[in-house]
Amino acid sequence: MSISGSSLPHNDRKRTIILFLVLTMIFLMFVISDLMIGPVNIPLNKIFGIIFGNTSSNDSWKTIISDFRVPKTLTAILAGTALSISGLQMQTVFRNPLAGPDVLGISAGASLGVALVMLGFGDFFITRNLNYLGSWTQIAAACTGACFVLILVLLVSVRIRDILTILIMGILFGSAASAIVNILQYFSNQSVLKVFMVWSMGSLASLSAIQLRVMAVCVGVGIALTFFTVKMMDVLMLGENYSKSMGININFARVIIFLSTSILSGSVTAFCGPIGFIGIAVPHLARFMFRTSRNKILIPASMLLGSVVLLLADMVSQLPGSGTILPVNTVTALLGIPVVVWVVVQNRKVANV
Amino acid sequence: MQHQEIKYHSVRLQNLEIGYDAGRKNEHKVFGPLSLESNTAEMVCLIGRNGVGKSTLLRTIAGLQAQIAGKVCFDNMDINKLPASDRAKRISYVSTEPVHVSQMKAGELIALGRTPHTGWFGRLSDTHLYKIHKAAELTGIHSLLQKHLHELSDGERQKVMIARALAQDTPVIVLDEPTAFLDLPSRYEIVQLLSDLTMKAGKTILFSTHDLSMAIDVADKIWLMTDKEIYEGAPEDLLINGVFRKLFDSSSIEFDSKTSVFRFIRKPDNTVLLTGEKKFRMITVKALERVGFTAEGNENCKINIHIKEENSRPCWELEINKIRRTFHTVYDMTVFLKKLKDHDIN
Repeated sequence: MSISGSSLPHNDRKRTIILFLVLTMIFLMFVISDLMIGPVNIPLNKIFGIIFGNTSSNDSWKTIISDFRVPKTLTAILAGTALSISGLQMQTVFRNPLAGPDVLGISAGASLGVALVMLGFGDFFITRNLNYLGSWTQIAAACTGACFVLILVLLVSVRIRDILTILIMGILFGSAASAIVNILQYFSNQSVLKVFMVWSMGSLASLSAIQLRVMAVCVGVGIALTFFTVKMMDVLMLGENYSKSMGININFARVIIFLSTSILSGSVTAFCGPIGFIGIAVPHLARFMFRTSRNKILIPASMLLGSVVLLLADMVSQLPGSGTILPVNTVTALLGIPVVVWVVVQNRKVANV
Repeated sequence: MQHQEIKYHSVRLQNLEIGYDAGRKNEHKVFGPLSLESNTAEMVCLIGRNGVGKSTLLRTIAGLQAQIAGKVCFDNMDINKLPASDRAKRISYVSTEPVHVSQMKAGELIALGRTPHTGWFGRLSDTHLYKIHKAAELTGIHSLLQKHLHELSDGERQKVMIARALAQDTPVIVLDEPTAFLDLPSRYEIVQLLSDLTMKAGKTILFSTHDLSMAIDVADKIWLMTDKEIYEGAPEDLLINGVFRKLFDSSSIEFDSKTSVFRFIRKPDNTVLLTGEKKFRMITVKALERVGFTAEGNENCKINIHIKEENSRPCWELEINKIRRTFHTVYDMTVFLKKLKDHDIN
């Protein structure tokens, strides 16, 4: 055999490995700086001391680190990972560079699910739902809502192949979901409403330990499902005809991927509120950096990049030194929108995902 | 090219009825029943007008669309009864629509052709890599493997799509208008490539095209689809039976079976006497016919044209009412003749 594996196109292997190393380093740096940033200044060595069980620090620092900053950082990592992967999945299934959980109305569907539960059974939630039952209910509602919109969008996309129409449908479904949410708000009492409003601004900091655990389990399941579909996703990018002709069971692939997306974006939305533009922007950054379309690389790359971006957004949202905190939602929008604009402009030349 | 053992395969369509929404309430039949057959290492061209159901037929054969009735058999196995992954090892498909995937390299696309043969995570072993390179070699695109899809020309991209089908390593390849978006030279290149593949790689290749004269040149078999019927046979058989003219309803177009091209039937209303150099006679007659003259006139004609050769280039001496003009290009002559016609020669 005169042909060696190294001559196959895949392999700018060296470049890929270096990029992953660099990204991992940035990731670690961001994790550390995210832990350091906050209204109270805590020295780095004390932070490590507290995390690794050294009990010499004072109690208030301990509380700040282990009850607030560590959960918040973990949440940022989980949410960034989950949203990015779900964006990558949507862009693959719909073969559309502008698809993403927020654009297709999936986040809005999740919000609707949460709103129905929160505003409908509000008394449950004013107690900050510190029990497992509440957490699972909230996640289940969000995932169901996400899945519902996803299925609607899919039904439309089977009938109408035009990408633009599907996007517009997604936006319409999203608006419809938001409208229902508004109606629910209108009929809610003030205390419930306030909890809901705070939720809807998006926050990484409001998760209880139980919620964090529940979310970690969900994100873990979502990611496991994703790795299960790597090969199918590669083929799906070529479209329905090619996928079928290569023996891929499209409906099966879609079910698995949609399940995964619903769980990923649903669980994040359930606890952190709607966080926009991570899902749509990060996969493009990953493609651009790694110069590949292979999901085997894009999935881990999006996971890392997603965490990095959301950690950054979290740090920016705290406006270091000012003592005020912006909703993380607003920061991700401002970070993500330029990327989306860039994609739209690029897309005129390159077309599709 | 080493000779590989070519196994005998056949594709047989039995009483096939094709259409949309098979088995549903709004089932819509496009064509059928039809029965056709093709054998190993054959190049089959599917010809027919737009909307007659060519794509539907090809998609049905490739197993992408359910048929309304009848069977598509590969080696006497009903392909609809085969599991999808087994079917994908027997028939590959290249569609008309161009594929755009951002940041996808040609090599990555070709590698995807291995999908039916790889495991859950699509890992490529040395055998897979070998097949991929072999496909690139057969299509002559080794130098393009590292390029991104959007950097390729239309012709190159089509070759990459064909290489992907080759990497799928199926005895049968179905292509829907593989030359549709291509310029003329690329069209010939692609058809040449397909023809090579039947001979060198022993593939059965079935594709639809609008280029009848090319199909007549290269096909081992033509499937000619009209609104009502489908004709099957070697191009020459169909020429002998005169079925090609059934593609047209119009009576002003005829099929010239000597040159295998369609031409307009013109009714010339003027005659000239054409004499002189035989070499350029044919071409002159063609030009005259286009502007409404026939060269079948006799000495009594008002217009005489004499073809001469000067310095190995033709020139035309045209005489009318004893006035003589010389033209050095066909175009100048046709312009003059048209003016004559307008001013009424008689």
